[in-house]
Amino acid sequence: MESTVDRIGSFKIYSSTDVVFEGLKLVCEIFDRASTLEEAVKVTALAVKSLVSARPTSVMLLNSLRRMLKRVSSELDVTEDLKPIRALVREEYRRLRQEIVEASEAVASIGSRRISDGDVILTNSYSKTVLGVLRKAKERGVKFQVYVVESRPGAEGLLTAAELNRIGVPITLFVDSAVRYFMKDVDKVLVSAEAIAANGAVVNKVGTSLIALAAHEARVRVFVAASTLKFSPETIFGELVKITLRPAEYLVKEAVENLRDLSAFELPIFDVTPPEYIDAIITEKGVVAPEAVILLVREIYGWPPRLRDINELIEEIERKVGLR
Amino acid sequence: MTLKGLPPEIVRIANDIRDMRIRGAGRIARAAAEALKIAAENYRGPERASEFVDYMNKVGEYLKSTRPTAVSLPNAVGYVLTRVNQALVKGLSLEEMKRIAIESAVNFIEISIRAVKLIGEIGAKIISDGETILTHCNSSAAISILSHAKMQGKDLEVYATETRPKFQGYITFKALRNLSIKAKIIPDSAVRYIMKEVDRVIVGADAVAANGAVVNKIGTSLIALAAHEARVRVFVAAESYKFSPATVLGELVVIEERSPLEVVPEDFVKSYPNVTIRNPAFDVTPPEYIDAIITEKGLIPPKAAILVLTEEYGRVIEEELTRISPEEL
Repeated sequence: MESTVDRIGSFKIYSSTDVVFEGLKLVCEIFDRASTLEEAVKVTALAVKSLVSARPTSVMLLNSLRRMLKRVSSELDVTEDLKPIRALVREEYRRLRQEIVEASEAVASIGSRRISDGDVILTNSYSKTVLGVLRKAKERGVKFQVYVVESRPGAEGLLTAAELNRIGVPITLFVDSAVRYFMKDVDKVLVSAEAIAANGAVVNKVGTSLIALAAHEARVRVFVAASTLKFSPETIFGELVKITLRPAEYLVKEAVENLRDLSAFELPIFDVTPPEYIDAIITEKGVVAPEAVILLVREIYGWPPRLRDINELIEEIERKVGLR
Repeated sequence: MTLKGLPPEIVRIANDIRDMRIRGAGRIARAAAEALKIAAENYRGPERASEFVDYMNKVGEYLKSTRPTAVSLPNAVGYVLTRVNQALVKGLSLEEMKRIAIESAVNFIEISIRAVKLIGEIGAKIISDGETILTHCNSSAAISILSHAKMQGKDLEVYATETRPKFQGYITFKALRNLSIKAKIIPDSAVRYIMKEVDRVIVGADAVAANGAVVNKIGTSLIALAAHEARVRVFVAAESYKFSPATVLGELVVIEERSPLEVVPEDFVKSYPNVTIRNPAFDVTPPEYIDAIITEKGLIPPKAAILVLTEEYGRVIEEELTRISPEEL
């Protein structure tokens, strides 16, 4: 469990899709290994809390874990045996995984239609969803090229470039600060999201808002590819999406070794792009304006959204198995 | 370009400029002046004034070829060589001309150092106590402002961008820490995230064009844009020898693109043949995102750059104009 949480917390697992898959798998494994229901619930409670705090920005992780816990809680009204609950956890993991994959494929399909022959697409960081859109466009025979920014801290842009190299599109890679320099050559910006707030603001890798600003200045369109699982219903009630901060050593480890007094401050991993710099969000339910996110939230979660706080859910489950 | 019989010190200086062991427009300019001084001191060619001038002009061309963007380099070379060429016209002796070459090189270096100090004094006045300042790359002129403000007892906090690909931000960070100024490093991508906390942006310049556009380390224009969006003021610290007289004649400042290996390791380049690495060293910040340029002569609005240019290089510009006009008319 520690290693999964650590790898998520240190961004060794970066893609938010992978974060969800690994997080849900961890819960499955906990139920597989446990010999009693109480043990499984106890460890799961701990795991869920550490997962969420390792990546507080990932709304898809929160939404997926919430769904899984809700299923567990209602199943506990029917049975108190470990075996059927274990099967249910597995089944929910498989279902969520499939749903995420299907949503991602739908996003890829819809998004790929927005890419035209001759386009120069600018992207940052590393996103399975964005790669899916680009792969799909390539399969459709569209001839385009991709500009990728390095995306420090973390430099996931290099991973994206490596993956695109395999897909066989021409790629140009440059440092984050060169974004405005190259924006004149760009036709469309395509980025992913870690979370999307009720007002259509997009939380994504730090630097995304700077790219969107430069695109806005140059009148280049900005598209965000994200499944609706990344919509944050909590933000309707005024919650802010927490921006993950990491110690500065994380940034400079590879740069300068002799600066030891950097630990005093922390750096953001994500930033928030305001809706006015986003032209459209490409979801599995279609292309929507950022201001229309609220409509999809209503469709999915009802109005006003019925939400269970994840900590309350954990407590409820603990009560049901007699841990409280 | 190589020159036979050049003192090894000059070759070393030229290589150091090219390979960025000597960096920063001011330091490059002073190093070039120093190289010309060495050239004059060690001249062993024919004992004729015209031969000496030819030689000095060639050394000047050689030095200028090392970095295309920094205007301070041709301006430093021009400062010395204009005086040497004027001496030739006056019919001065070889010894006299050597003396003039050496003296003007030394003068340039002194003027340059004094300029950085003056900019510090002028620039410090615009900073208020308790300000948070964002800077980019490593600029002696910008640091001079911060250090003068600190000496005036103003409490500052400075964000230094790390400045990929060569991480000059860490040099700035260390320099500020040595001056006991509170400093923090941020990745270049976090500029917009942090801008809300910033009161003022202060950066250096590699070149200032006739319209007031500022050529500086890649990323400067992005910072200026983010500052503009957040209504944070942007100041550029630039000695007058960073203003480009050639731009008055319609020439563009060439943006140097450097090696991909500054961005990624060699095996990355080899492993991914579809990936082109582009590494422009500078970008251009339009004058509308700049509130003022702080020169050693005073603070000017960017669009008044032509004022500094005609004041400093009026004669050069006029000479050039008369030279190009007949052919083009």
